[in-house]
Amino acid sequence: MGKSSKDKRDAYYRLAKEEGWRARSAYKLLQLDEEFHLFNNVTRVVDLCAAPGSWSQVLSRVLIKGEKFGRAGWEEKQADVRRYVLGDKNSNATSTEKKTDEKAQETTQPKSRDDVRIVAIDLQPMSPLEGVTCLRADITHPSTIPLLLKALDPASDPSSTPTPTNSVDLVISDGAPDVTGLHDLDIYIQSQLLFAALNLALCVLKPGGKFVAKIFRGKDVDLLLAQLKIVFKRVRVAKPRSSRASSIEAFVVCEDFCPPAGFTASLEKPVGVSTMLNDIQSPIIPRTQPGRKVRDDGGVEIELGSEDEDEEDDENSQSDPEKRGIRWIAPFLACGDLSAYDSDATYHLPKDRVSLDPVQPPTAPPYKRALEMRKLAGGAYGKTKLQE
Amino acid sequence: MSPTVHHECIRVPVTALAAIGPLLLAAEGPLVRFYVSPEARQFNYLASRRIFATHAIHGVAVYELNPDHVVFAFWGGPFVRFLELIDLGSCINVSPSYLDRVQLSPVTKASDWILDLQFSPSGTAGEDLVTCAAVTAHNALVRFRYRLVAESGHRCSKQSQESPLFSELTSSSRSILYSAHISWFSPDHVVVAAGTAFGEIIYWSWRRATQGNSSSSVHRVFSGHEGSIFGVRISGELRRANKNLGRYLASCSDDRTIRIWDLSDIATHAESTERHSEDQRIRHTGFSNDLVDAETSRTPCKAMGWGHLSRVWAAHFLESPIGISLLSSGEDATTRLWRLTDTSEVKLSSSGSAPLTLDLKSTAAYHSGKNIWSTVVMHDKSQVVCGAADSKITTYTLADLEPRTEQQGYGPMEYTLRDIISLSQLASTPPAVGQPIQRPKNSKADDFYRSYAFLDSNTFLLTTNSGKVFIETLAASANGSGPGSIVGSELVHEIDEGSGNSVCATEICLGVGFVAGARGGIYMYQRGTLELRKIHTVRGKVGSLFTSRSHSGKIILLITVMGQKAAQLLYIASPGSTNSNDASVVHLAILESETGTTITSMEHLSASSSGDSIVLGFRGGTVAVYALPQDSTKEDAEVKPDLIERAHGKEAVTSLLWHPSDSTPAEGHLVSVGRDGCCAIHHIDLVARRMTLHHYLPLPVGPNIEGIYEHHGHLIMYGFSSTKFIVYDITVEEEIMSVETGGSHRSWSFHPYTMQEGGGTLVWTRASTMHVHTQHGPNHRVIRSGGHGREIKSVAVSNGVGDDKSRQLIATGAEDTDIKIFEYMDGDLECQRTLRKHKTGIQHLQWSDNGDYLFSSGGCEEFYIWRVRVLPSFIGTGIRCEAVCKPESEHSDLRIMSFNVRKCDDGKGLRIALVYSNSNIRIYTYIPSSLSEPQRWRTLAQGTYFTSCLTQCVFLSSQTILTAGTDGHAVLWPLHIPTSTDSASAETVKWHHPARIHQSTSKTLETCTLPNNSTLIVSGGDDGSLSFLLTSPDGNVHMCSPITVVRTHASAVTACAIVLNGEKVYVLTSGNDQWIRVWEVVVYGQGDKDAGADPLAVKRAGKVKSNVADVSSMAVLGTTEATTVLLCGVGMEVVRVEW
Repeated sequence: MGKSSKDKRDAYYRLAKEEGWRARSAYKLLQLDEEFHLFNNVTRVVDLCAAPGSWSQVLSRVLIKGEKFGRAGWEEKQADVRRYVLGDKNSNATSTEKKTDEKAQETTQPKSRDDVRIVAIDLQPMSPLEGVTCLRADITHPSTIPLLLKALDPASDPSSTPTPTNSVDLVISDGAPDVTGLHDLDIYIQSQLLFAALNLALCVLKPGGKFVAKIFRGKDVDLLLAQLKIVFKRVRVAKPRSSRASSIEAFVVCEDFCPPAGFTASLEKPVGVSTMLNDIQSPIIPRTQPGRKVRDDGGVEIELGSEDEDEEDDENSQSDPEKRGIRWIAPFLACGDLSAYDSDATYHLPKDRVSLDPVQPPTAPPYKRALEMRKLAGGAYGKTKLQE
Repeated sequence: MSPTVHHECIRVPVTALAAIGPLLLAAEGPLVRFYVSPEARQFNYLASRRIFATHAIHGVAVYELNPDHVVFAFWGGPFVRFLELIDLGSCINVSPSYLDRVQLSPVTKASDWILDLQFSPSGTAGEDLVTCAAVTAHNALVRFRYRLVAESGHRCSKQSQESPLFSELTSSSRSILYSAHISWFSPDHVVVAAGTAFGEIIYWSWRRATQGNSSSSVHRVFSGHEGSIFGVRISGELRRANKNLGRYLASCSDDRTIRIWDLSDIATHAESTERHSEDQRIRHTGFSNDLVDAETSRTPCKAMGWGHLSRVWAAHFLESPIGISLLSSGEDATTRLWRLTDTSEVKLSSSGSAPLTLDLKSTAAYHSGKNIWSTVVMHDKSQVVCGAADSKITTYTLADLEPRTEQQGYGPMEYTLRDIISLSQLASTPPAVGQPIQRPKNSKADDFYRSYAFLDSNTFLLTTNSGKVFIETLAASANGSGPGSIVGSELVHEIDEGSGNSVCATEICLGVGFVAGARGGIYMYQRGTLELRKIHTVRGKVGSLFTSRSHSGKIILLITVMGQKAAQLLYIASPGSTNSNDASVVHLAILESETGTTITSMEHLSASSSGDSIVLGFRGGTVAVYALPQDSTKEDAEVKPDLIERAHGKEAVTSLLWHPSDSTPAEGHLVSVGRDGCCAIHHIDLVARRMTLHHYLPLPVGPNIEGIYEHHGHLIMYGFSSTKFIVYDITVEEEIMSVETGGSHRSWSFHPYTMQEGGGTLVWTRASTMHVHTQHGPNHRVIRSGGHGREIKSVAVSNGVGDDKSRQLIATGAEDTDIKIFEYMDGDLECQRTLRKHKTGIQHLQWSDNGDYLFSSGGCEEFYIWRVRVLPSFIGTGIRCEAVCKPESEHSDLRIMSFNVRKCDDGKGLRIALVYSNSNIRIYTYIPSSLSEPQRWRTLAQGTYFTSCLTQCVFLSSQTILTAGTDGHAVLWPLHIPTSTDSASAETVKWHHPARIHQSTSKTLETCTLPNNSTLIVSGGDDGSLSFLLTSPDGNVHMCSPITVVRTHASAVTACAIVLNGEKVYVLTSGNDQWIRVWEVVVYGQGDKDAGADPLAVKRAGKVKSNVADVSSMAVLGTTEATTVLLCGVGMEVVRVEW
């Protein structure tokens, strides 16, 4: 797909280029914030698996520069863009320019927060961002914790804090694996990335803190959600409109961190591989109560409640290792206003529109050299010769 | 009593294969299928066994206690299960009941996901325990011990109840692996190669010391790959070029390379000084970046292979008498054979450069779509078996591993004309085997090969430009494939008509050949003689000759003369008959303006009552049918034809095959192929002179299709595709032969073998030399037929095909852009046809009410209407694309997300509603009977919903359409269709009655008419909820607010089906969480006593895990006592719901 047709097919790809985001995934975090007010009263944030840095960019622009991507401004702008897209002739280039001016005005009076600390961690190098401390480290390694704490509080003496101090308000992770196509392996690797982020969050989050991470809504995701529900009071699965409906990607938004009594987190003994959170003493097994709710629009929402496992499975179910495990389905929230762009829709663009280049060129794929080799060999690696 | 759900048929990717002796095990999801292979070409299915409740099997390890007693270890995710088998030797001639003797252990769970598992070579060590080690995804070594229950020779009836013992040998590291391989160097020493997500291979080992202590140490970290390592393999001890034993490591990666590393100089047994701690095994993770990690030490790889077109999943070492080979498999759905050559002897220490080379020797591409997930070699490493994402299992023989035998002596199997002449001069004394032909270097030819024609599988006629006619004899070969060698050559005749055109043709079953000279002389040759007899002369230059045989045994010879407007049809008495001299002639008029003059194919139709007919195919794509005069002896009668214009577009009709009807001899089907790459089938009624197109589909090879024939009930085609000559079985959609010819050629001939296993001989001219290739049997065999190679996006099930209600066709459309037609027979899904026309992934499919039409939509505004018919016997299902909906947008880049087709109330046409990714809806009328295609389409109405993408569309009545989209709202669109059909302008429709049914996309939507004529609408959403709507019988208003059941699945609800079982309404749903759930829906009538606050109530009624990932759609196959439902996604699954 060329740049231009991708612009039409993917409104957020186009928008990211126009608004200067490193990747379209920035909108996912912005739309999550719109729904969950993730950044309210937040000053200390850790961004995991951060490269190329679009989520850190959102943190930088919202928390450091004090830019507003609030609903009011957002909606107004969206409505304007929509009018433009629908072919309203009055909305032309000049009005877009006017908007930019307004935006410039807006940014001239930023309301920066005090004592903001943002640390971005990734194994890959990342180009710097204003107000963001970038660490190149392995989030699964115990040595990362002191590094992280030092980055959060450069003044403090690392030797005086041998145990992690739980001082972080928000831990976010948008990490995803190389997808192989072997679905259960892909889902497993994604769950391990999520556990890696969770283990670090458990070490640094303060009670009441928040955790947001990418999750694949695939096979056995309910096992994973049950684990999160043990340590967070509120766990919801959210799908921003900027994330395609055809993708199994979603985001788990965990609020009000409440480590169970007597629980000490450690990267030396991470949860998620052989240890699960329900292995701790007297865990609270998450359950949902049945209920019925009439929405404002008259629609009726029925919650049938958690399934009673004893009822339908025979007594052997817990002794069968394949059936063991606690399952819990988190409430789902689609976020981003309905008037926002639809990532699945095709938009009509004016004929003379110039397609912009991405803010950051895509990273070289691992097969780049293979393609070059193939070109050199004159097509399919010159295999016709080999067959002789 | 709640309904129960059972699995009936599973067709998912084949993720593991294993072989021991004649036994082949293939894992499909949680099931393992057993096959027995008494010889390389034969695989008989025995039975299948479920190993895990829900988890897919990812690998199988085999341990042979003795040839009669074998233990298998299956692993999938963190689970392991053992299976014990005795009396293996007797399984070659067994019934499926043989597998009753297997012993299955309980399932054991490891602490983590298992990447590889291997049995210890220690045997049972006095005890009845077998040991195996496994590497987890976090690079931990774990051990399983299994206690044997069966004793060889004794049938053991008790099932093993003792769980295998699990223990951890080393602890987990934090880094995640994508691949690992274990090698037991001794019962106390396990060596591991581990491939990380960051392009590194960690080579480490675990040892048990004498005191019972154990230790582990990292020996080497190999880096260099530019992406995740998806496969690693430690070789056995191999004999290297310097005669020393040594080991190699093969790795393959995201970067599409296969790399070979030398392990020989790495000491793994010595308690070396570098006794690494746990931390070192863990190391740092992350891509080594030269700019950042300047200190990274690099052990360069010894050889590197490029060849796969996408990611490489696995590589296996194969050691054979001629050296070391490697078999790789990858995402590009190919397996490739590589030769690892040690050139260190040749280039003695050439400045330290890699002494090894890895060369691609052959490529096998017998699977569709993507991803070969499993391979195994059996029958003494000569037979490769592949399992892939298309759920197909194929096998082929590795010919390249065998050292060249006596055939080598012949040198290259190509012959210049001088070779042929010198061979013919030595006719009585063929050259001794092994003696190369002396060929003078100077090959400036004054004469060259003109044409070839086979007389039988070993002899063919050869003509040269100057008029020489040779008869060539090929060496008889019984099996295999390769260059054919000529053992005899005899000069039959030299036609004295000057040089230029000379063509030949043969009637194989009579052993007769015909040659035309440059000045119009027609000569006949009879097998076994050395005589060429002139039988006829035409005026002018002969264009081509075609032969056939009449029912009375006469030979029919068609001669076309260049530049003449009639072709001559000769009836020649067969060589055995008495009056051999009369040859009667019929003149067939060529309608130059309509057909052109170049005839490219001929078929003779014998229909006893109405006389014979001749069908001719022309270069311009037209087919002409000539009814021959009853009295075939009458000369100079000119016959005029009926035409099938543009049967193959504007391309040559290259081959014709007549298949008469069993009941009515004057009717039948004419199969034709052409250089448009398509196969067409016309129904022809010779009496009524009516010709109807019943089938027209492109073939996956081509476009230069040159011939078609019937072989043991299969329809086979051959032709040129790119630089290859291909023989392809249309019936089962498999390649039979693929010969590298360098392109399509003017002079060539192919002779298919008639014996069951097929194959044939090809002779062709390339660069003035004659090449011969013979092949017995197909180049690969299908052990289990497959389906789509990519995920299925839509499924639709027909209710009969036209008038034939006994047939039920299943249409599936996938991401690979193909539509496949399946039938569900005897508990298995068999693919009948593949429809290749869409250029983008399929979005939606629907059948017409009686199954005579299939509709399909995709991206780029593709909407096709397919006419489907059941055709007799081997021809199978007849399908042609009858109409294409013209894109209306400027760039036609919209996706048609869904559509719905409904019969017009007057019964004459179809009403079609399409919804687009840009929020538009369009409604058309399509009238099939209209003559020209544009006249069949009429735009009735169009409208725009908003800006969000529409995903669902259904007619609630002839006047109302319901749509739903990514914004989670369902709306109704009223249609005010004028009664008169001549209204030109399209109405603009507006929606009303929006109802919020989901927070976001409606992923699946089904409707059903309830007994009170209201419509129940069920929608499954991306938000994991299931929403219900009730609309009035006319579809104009909702009868209640939407009722949404939240958290029905842990993921998006992507498929649903409604089943009416007596009074009860059941809904089946599935989603990416791989559960199939059954819901009972009670719709209350007015004043119903049991009615609650809502007009309907929903309760859980059953569930079962599905083996299909990425479920996209489901369809009900049948409802009798139980309901069978087909689920599609990554694979297919049939479940039975018992009420």
